[in-house]
Amino acid sequence: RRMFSLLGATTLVLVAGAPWTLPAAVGGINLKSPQNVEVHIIDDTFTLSWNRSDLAVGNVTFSADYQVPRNDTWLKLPGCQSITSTKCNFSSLKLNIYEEVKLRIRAEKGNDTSPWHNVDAFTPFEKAQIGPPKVHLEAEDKAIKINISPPGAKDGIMWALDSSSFTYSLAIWKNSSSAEVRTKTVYPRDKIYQLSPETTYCLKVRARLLPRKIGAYSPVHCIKTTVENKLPPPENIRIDAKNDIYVLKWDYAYENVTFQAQWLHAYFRKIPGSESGKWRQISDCANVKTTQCVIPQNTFQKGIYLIRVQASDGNTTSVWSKDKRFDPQLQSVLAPPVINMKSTNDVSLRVYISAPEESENKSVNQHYSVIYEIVFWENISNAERKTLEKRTDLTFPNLKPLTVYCAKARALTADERWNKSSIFSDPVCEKTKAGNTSKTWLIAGICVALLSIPVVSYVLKLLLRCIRYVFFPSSKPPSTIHEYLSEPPLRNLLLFTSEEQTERCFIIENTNILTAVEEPDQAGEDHKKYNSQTSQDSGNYSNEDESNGSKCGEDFPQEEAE
Amino acid sequence: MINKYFFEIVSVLLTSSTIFSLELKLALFEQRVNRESLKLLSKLQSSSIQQCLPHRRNFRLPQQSVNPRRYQEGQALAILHEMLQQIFNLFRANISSDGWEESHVEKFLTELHQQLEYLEALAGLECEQDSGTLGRDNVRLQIKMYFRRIHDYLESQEYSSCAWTIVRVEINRCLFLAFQLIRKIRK
Repeated sequence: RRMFSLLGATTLVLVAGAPWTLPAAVGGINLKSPQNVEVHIIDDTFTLSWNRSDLAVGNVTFSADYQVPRNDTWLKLPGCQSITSTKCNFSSLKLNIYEEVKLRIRAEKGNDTSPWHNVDAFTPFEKAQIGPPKVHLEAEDKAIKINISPPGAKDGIMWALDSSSFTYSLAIWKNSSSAEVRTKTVYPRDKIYQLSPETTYCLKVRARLLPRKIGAYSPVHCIKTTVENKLPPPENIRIDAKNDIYVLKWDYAYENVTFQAQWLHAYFRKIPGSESGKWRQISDCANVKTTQCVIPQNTFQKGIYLIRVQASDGNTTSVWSKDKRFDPQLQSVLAPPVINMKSTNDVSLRVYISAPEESENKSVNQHYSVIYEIVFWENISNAERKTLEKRTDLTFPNLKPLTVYCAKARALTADERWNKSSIFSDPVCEKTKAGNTSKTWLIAGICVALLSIPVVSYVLKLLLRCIRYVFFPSSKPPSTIHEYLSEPPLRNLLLFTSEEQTERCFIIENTNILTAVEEPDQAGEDHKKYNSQTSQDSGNYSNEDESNGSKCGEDFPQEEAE
Repeated sequence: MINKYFFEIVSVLLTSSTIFSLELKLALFEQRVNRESLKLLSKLQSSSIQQCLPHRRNFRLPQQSVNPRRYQEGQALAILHEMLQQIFNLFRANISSDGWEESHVEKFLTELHQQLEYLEALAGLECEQDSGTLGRDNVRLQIKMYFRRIHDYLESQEYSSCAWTIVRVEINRCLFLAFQLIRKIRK
C-alpha cells in the first residue's frame, strides 16, 4: 500500500508537468495513455508502435482495440493484447483492407487502466507501403535477364488485386568504382541490354503503383556477365508493313547462319513469371538464311506483340535478340491521297484531295486524323511550293496564264506521336486558262451587276412604299381598331343583332317613345333623347350613335370607308 | 460499327491532336472490347446460364460512385484505368481454365492490355494529383473492393464453371460502365 501511494505520488509529480493529459486517478494510480502511437503497414505486415508515458511505472502492459465500419462495438486487436514492449504485430487480423478501421490503445496495470488513446481512422490499403520486390537475375554476355516477383507474400491480400499493376524501376551500375547509375522502367520479366561482357553489374529494383505509391528498393544484387558469345544475337530488328505482308528484317554480320523468329503477346510481360513457353514460332521465318523474312499480315491481329530473332550456325545458337515491340496498328501504312486539279477562269488552279479508295488492304487513313502536304510547282521550273493543309479543297491563285503546273500530295498524321506519312501521290498536271484580264473584269462586272439586282429592287420597293404611304394612305384602319372591329359584328350576329337592329328600324320607321322604353342599355336611352328631338334626322342620329360605341357594327366599315 | 463520318466530325471538333488520338483509340477500343466480350459471352449457352441462375450474387457494382457525370476527364481516366486493370487481373490468371476458348480470352486480354498501355502513356495519369479530391469515397478503392468481392466469390465457389459464368455476365455489366466513362472522356 505504501509502495503504491509512493508510486502514485511520483506519477502525480510527473503529471503536474503535463496536467492536461489525465483525468482523475483510478484506484490510486494515474496510468497515462501511450503516446506517439503509429500504425505501419508494409505489404501484409501490420504493426502498431507507441511510446510509454510512465517510464517510472513498472509492469505496465498495453492492449489495443479495433473497430470496423457498420459495427459500433470495439473488438480486441489480436496480437496486441497485454503487450509489455512498445510494439505489436496484428497481421493475423483479416481486415477489409479497402475500408476504414479505427484503433485505440491504453496502458494497463492490474485492474488499473489508462484512458484510451485513439488512433486516427485509416484505410489499410491507403496506408500500406510497398515493400521490396524479389529479384532473380540471369547473366548473358551483353545482357542481364531479370525476373521480378511482386512485393509481399505470394498469398498476401494487400497487393492481390494489383500484382500485375505494378511497374518497376531499376537502377543499375557497374560495380567498379563510381560508375554512373542507369535507371530504367522494366517489366516483371525483362532484359537489360547494352552491357559489356565479363563485367560485374549491380542493381536494385523498386515497385510503383498508380497513382502515388512508390515502394522500397530491393537489396542490391550483383552479377557478372558471361564471356562474349561467338555468335552474337541479331540486331536492329524492324518491321516494315507492305500491302498485305510484313517484312521482318534484322542485321547480322556473319555468313552461313540460319535464323528463327518468335512472337509473344506483350501482355504476358505484365504477368509475373508466366512468359516461358508462351513464345510462339513464326513459321514463315523458321530456318531462313537471309536477314529478313516475310510474314503474312493476318499472322498478327490487333494488339501489342513482342518479336525476337535468334541466329544459329548448326553447332551453337546465339542468345535471343532484343525484343522488338510491335503494334500492327501503328505499323499500318498510310495510303497516299488522290488528287484532282482543275483550272479556273481566273488563272488559278483548284486542287481537290480525296482519301484513297478502300481496297482489299484497307487503308487506315480513316483511323487517323490526317493532314496533307501538297507540293506544287511549275512544270518547267524546279521551284516548289509546299503547304500543309487540313482542308481537302484549296486554290492556288495568281498563276501565269497558259502554263502547266503540277501538284502531288501525301498524307501525314496530324498527331506527331504517330509520326506517319504516306508516300506521295502521282503528280497531276494541269494547264491554266488564258488569263484575260478584261474577261475577268467583265465577269466581275456581271457578278457585281447580278449581286446588285436584288439590292436595287429592294431599295426601289422601299421608296415605292414611302410614296404610297404619303400620297395614297392605306384605306385600312390601324390594326388595333381592326382587331376591335373584327369581333363585335360576330357577337352582334349571334346575340344582339336581331334585337337591336329591329329596334332601330322601329325607331326610324315608327314614332319614338314607345320603343325607346323597351331599350335596355344606355345607348338606347340616348336614342330616346335624340329621337324625341329630331325624329327625322336619321343620318345624324346614327352617326352619333356609332361614335358612342354602340354595337351596331354593320354600318361601321362603310362609314370608315367614306 | 463506327460511323464513318464520326471521325470527320470529331476531327473538326477537336483541335487537340492528343485528345483526338486518345479519343480514337478509346472509340476503337470500345468497339473491339465489346465485340470480344460479347464473343466470350456468346460461348455461354443460354441453358448454362439458366442452370447457373441459383449461383447469382450481387457484387454491388459501385454504379453511383463511378457515375461518369461526377468526374472530370482526368479522374474519369483514372477510374477507367483501374477498372480495366482489374478486369485484366481477373481474367489473366485463368487463361486456360474452364475450357474456354483460349483465343477469345487472349484477344480480350490483348485488347485490355493495349488499352491500358495507351492509358498509361497519357502523362495525365502519372500525376493524378487531384484524385486526392475524391477523398473519402476514393473510387479506386471502391472498384478494388468490388473486384475483391468477385475474387472472393470465385474462391468460395472453387472457380466452378457456373461461378465463372456469373462473373462473366457481371464483367459485362462492368464494361458497360467503363464504356460510359469512355464516352464521357470522348466529350
